[in-house]
Amino acid sequence: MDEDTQESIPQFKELDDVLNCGICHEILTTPVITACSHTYCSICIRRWLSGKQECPSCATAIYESTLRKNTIVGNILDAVKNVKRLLGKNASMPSIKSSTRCLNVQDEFGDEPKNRTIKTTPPATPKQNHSAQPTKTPMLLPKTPSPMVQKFPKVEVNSTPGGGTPTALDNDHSPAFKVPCPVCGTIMAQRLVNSHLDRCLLEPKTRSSETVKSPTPTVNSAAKTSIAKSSNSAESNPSLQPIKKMVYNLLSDKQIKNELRKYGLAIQGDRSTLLSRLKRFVILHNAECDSTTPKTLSEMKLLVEREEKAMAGSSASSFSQMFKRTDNPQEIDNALKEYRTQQKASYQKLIDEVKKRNKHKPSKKEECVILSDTEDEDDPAPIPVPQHEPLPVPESAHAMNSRQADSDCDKSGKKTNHGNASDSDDIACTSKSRKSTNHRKMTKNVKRKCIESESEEDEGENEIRQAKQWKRAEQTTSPVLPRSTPARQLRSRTAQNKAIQKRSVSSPQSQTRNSQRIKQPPSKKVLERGGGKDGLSSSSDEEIPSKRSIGVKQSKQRSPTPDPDIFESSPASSILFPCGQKARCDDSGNEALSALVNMIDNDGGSTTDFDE
Amino acid sequence: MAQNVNPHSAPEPSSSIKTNEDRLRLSKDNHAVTKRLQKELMVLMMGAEKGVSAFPEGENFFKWVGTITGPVGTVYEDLTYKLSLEFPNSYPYSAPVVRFTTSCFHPNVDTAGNICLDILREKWSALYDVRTILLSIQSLLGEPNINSPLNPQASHMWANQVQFKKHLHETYHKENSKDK
Repeated sequence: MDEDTQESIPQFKELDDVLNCGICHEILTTPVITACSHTYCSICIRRWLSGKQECPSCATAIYESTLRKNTIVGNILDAVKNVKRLLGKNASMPSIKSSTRCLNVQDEFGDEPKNRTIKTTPPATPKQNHSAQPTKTPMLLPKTPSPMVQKFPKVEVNSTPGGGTPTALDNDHSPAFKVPCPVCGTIMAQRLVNSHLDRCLLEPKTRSSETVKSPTPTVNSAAKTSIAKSSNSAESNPSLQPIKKMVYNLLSDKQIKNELRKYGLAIQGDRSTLLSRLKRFVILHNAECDSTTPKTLSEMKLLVEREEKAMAGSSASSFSQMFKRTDNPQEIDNALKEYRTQQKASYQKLIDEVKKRNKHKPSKKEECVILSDTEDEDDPAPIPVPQHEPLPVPESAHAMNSRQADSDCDKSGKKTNHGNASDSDDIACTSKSRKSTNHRKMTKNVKRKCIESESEEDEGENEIRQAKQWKRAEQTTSPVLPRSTPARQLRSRTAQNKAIQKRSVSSPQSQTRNSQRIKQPPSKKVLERGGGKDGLSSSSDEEIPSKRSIGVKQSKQRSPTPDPDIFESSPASSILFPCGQKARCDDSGNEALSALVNMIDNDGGSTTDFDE
Repeated sequence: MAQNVNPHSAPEPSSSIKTNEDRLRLSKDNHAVTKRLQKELMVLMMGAEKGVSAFPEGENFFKWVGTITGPVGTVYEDLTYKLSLEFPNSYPYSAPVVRFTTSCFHPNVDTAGNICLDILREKWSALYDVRTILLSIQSLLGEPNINSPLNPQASHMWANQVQFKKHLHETYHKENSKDK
């Protein structure tokens, strides 16, 4: 405990040794006594018993349920603390710190909140004398167990650690009327007597006070101030009941979570984490139940969280914990490298999975089917790749997309409207598709695949390999291409390029459209959708900006209202293809388009290679 | 993304509420183990126990190096042994891992330095500390438990103290010179 006092008054060392908890080697806090008459801190012994049900001192079998509050020792502790504080103050001890104590740990009082108030009242006051009476008894007087004799619930020194609040009485020092409490004899201001009496009568058990006379003359003088223990607020917190014992191993995960929730604790983590959290909390909570000034639930919660973090922090192996900022960067690099090699297999697995998924990407033809029954497969892109505009990198990863983008871009030209509308659609689709189970996708795709031409596969690969795509796309005049959604996203990014693209691409696109249209099998939704789009795209770019956006939206979600003229004029079958694909298929436009694709890719600088 | 987040570094929603004072107080509570070890160290330094000493190894308070000298009147007299003590996070609720770093020819110490001592295993109690552990090991040197030997050769030889001492000193000096 307080080394200062220990040094000045060697007897205190003995006292401290006696009042130390054998487990934490600190002065006891909330002492409890075991069935074998050993005293420990409540929390220490509870923690110990959670592992092994025997007394640490004598190895007698003891159980948590048999622990009893050791009130008297608790009171002694408070009294001793008060004496020490007074000593420290009066004798101006703080300067005593000796040089031998370089290893000095936080002394006890360093931990205490500052609200511990001490009132050293002038000994001359008669009232003070009255309350200080017990201090005049011979030094180190054994505790009188009968609370009736010495009840001083109202305290000159408010010593309760952890937030004992000074009572009104303490502050009432005015020369005003003071009267003794008829029950406990404490002197207090008259106006406070009634409220005090209520409490005093309610809680007769806790009314006991210990006074300690210090063994030295110095102390004597200091001790003239009364040192009495305050009646504690244990009873003011009647809601704090010990948590009943649980058989942790029999609790289901759900039950554990429920328990945790009940006390407002976090419920993340696996079973063992949850269990240890719960155990920790229960121990702390039950220990606090023994305390005269229990912590609040939220305080306990914080403690548990802290404790857990400390534990995790010292044993965790994650990089952030393995290394400090000051560590050699070389070391960190090496560790990271090692980690990468270790995890290579799983990375590879993920990459393969993505490739596979790309292969199964639905073609346009499939899409009609999908659209008709469910929109799950709207988004053909692999899940890990975000499809939204704000993330440009993954988009360009899809070679297709970039190609589509070319054509799209020129079409969209200045029509920002269209771009926005379709983008929002994209997002919606993406989220939907994510929800859908992969399994479902797969099976559908497989079925379709049988029917589909091999071109589909080609396309899938194209997604990954930019170089090859181009050629294949030409060959497979194909319906296989994924929906143009990602392409649209590119639009805004490539705004700079638009002007150039428009010039070069627009003509090939319009040419191709017609030829492709014929190849497509009609489907109502497709028709509508394509109609909207196609019509828009086939008509001159600048013509119908507003209609365009409408058409795109509707084609995806509701029954569309495509531009009637265009719809009629274009063959139904053609509509399926997003303009980008058409453009690609156009022989004459090939050269120009490929150049554009490259340009965009380079320009964006965002081409990510999945194969990598 | 969630799987890439380090659960330990994830901020707890409630922890943001805490005030400075809380943080101070709680951080101290957190280091209960460190605190106890500090106290023990202080006691060891102040107590000047004869024949045993210990000090943390480097900055890590959870790993100590202990030294014991052979108890007077035994074959181990005048020999000094170094031990390593590793404290778990749950200390003192679970025992530290103690082993000899100086090779020790003893019936209850194996060649790797592991010690067979009940109080370090099933008989561990939260009341034990570094001092008591070292004292127990010191007394174990003089009074081995022949019945459960980790080093059978030593346990056989124990009966013949003269021979044991001779062998002991031979190996001790051999090992020590090797170390240097």
